[in-house]
Amino acid sequence: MASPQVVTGAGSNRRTDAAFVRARNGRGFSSAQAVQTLSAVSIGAQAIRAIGASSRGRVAAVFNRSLYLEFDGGWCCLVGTELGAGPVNICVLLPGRMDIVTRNAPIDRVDQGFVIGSRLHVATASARVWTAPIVEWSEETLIRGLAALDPLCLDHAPNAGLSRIVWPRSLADPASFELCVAMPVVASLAGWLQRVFERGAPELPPGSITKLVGLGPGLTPSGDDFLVGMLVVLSLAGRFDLVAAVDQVIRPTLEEGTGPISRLHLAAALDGESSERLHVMVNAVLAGDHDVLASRLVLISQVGHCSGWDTLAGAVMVLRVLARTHRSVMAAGRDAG
Amino acid sequence: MSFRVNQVRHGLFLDSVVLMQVSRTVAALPGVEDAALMMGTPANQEILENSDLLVPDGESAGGGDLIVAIRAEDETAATAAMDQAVLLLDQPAAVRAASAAVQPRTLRSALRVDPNANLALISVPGDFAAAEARKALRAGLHVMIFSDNVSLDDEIALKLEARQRELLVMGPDCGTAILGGTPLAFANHVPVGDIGIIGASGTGIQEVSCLIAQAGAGISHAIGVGGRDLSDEVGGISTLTALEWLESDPKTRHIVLLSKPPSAAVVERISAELDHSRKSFTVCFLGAQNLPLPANAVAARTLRAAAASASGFQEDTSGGTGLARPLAGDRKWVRGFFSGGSLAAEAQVIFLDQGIRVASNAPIQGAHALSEVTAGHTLLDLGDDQYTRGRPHPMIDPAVRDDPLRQALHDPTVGAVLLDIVIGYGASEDPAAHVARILGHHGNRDPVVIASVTGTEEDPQVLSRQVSILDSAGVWVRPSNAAAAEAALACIAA
Repeated sequence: MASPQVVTGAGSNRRTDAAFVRARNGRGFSSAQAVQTLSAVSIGAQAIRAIGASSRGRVAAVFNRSLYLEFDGGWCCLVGTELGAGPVNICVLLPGRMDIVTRNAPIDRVDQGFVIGSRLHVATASARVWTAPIVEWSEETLIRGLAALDPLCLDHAPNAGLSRIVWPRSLADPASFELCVAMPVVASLAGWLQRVFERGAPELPPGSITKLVGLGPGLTPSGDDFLVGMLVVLSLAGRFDLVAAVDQVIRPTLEEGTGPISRLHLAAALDGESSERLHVMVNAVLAGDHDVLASRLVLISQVGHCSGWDTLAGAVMVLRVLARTHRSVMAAGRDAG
Repeated sequence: MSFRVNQVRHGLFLDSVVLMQVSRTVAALPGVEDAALMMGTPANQEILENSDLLVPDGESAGGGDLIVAIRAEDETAATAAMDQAVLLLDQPAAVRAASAAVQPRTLRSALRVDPNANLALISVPGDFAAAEARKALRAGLHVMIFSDNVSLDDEIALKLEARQRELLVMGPDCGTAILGGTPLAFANHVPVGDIGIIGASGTGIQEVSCLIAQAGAGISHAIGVGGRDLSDEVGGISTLTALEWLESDPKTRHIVLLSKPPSAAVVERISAELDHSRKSFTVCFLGAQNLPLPANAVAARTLRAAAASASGFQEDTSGGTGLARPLAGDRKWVRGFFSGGSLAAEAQVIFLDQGIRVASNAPIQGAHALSEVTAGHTLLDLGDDQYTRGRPHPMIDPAVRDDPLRQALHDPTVGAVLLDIVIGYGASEDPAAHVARILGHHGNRDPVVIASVTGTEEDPQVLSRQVSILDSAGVWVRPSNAAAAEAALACIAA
């Protein structure tokens, strides 16, 4: 079978780019006052939107190697390059740790970027606009990729979070509450995907999908991470109609149902993008590139306590249905597009 | 009557790993029954409610808030635990900022701080470890690679380069070393002596060095080489380098070699090297039979036998048979939960040598894989990757053992539970107390809980204190891991 070229929805409706960032510079603050300048290497679509939202902002959260920034309700993340690019990230080469900056430190837009707490100048003008990588794949390569991935994940998926739904343990460990809540939801989502993939007709996802919103441990709850993985693969498969269907059902619950950082990542996923780490992992599975799966899985496992695994689990749940029903998916995807 | 307390931290965002660590630390405090730190989403409030952790204070939280929820046996314990949680939550940023000022961030800057350093300990994510190790070798440093997930190709290349530069690479995945009396990574405070150890296993080195110390002897150097060094592909490059070093070290009289069984070709190569040596050797390739060794080397089946052979102490293999008590009902199986892979392997050797069928997630030759059996004796290596992915090693965070231990205690078919308690530098601050908390009021009831403590009096956790805590909790503490395994079998047979 010929390898179909899959084009993501990411980037298709963006009105922002690095030039837009330059055009929206604020006034009244000189970058010369800043102690240290960091040049952004890459910037994602959500991040461009966030820093374009206002001339002032604040540091919302401080971690060792990253800062979450808020500009009038728009959020983005300033990260060291080793954490990887992504739609919400502004990647910089960090000389040290981020926790020299304090939470709630003010942010001012300046020429060529913004200044955090009068100490850190982040220059965004020459940043590359990051977009999700895409890969050529076929039914055959996807099946090969999944077959190579599953043994690795069965061995290594953590007990915490939701990944054990997709890779159950052989030992009978007691299930956590979040696992008990999520298992029937994931089963019904898999059933829904199977139906809509096979029939091609649009159908809203089961309402129980909202039970995943804000569910479970971690800064970004496991259920949200699972949804992010699902949404990214649906976009990669060209099923923007299904992304829109999920959006329609979960959007009313997001404001109350989860935190702002999770909402940020979900918004990016609804646009078809997540972290570069997830994309290169999913791409390796799609392309059946088994040689790189183990090393990419290591990078996934380093995201949060179990966030990386939860996101991958959501992606693989969809990939499995996709592998079973590939031909009808592609036909429906063409129609939907 | 339990007492519950919640605190909502508005807009406080912490890394998931920090949330997990604080949650575990608080849950382990005295009198605490359960604790959780979760984002205050409606779905999580439902989880907390179902876990009997939510009170009205917590219900005010929003999705961007953090709920700290604690249930304890009384108000005093709950309040103390909440104070500790708040302290931990507020502490990290300040502590990190202070420590960042004095810690070199690169190998080069570390060498500027101490130009006389001759060894680099690499502990970074596996994908970056090889590059850092290569930099260290090219700066003329010996290398200990604590990181795992380094590719086999990288390991071979690094070891060949080290050999050319007359340097040593310990690892990857090298958890233990003692060089000239200085413990590195997970190691114990043992006296300096005339016995050298070369080991492909961390807890194997710890058990043997501690038993040697308890016998009154000491260690010249204990050199970890990584679990794959004696594989066909690597061919024992670091083991051979370490042998040459210890051969030329006048302070080393006897050398102990520890590993899983290598291939016949590698055994032949090692044996040839030993044959040329002027020193004496004990070779413990756990699970190996009929090793072709030269006259100056003796084979040991267990870690205890290796320590006895090297230090000359008399090995007690009675297993405390006379002390074992009969078990009630149909209790016939042993469940072993080990933090040390070599200790799990040694226990399997004990079972197999008594003709007892046993299964493990890390089976040695003759044992069954866990997936092949549905009932029987099972000895789990909880330090294996499948249990440690995304969470600390059980020697650092013993909580990985909690759930299977609780299950075993309530299983009417289990006669004996077998545990290893590994102390020393890098290990959990008080692993015996953690086990005692899980055991609660189990006391002397069935199943019998049997343990050994790998450590010394000079270790930060203090051997006798750990033994005393276990003893008070009703645990039958044996003097070595091998003795504990023998005691478990004696209980089943009694």
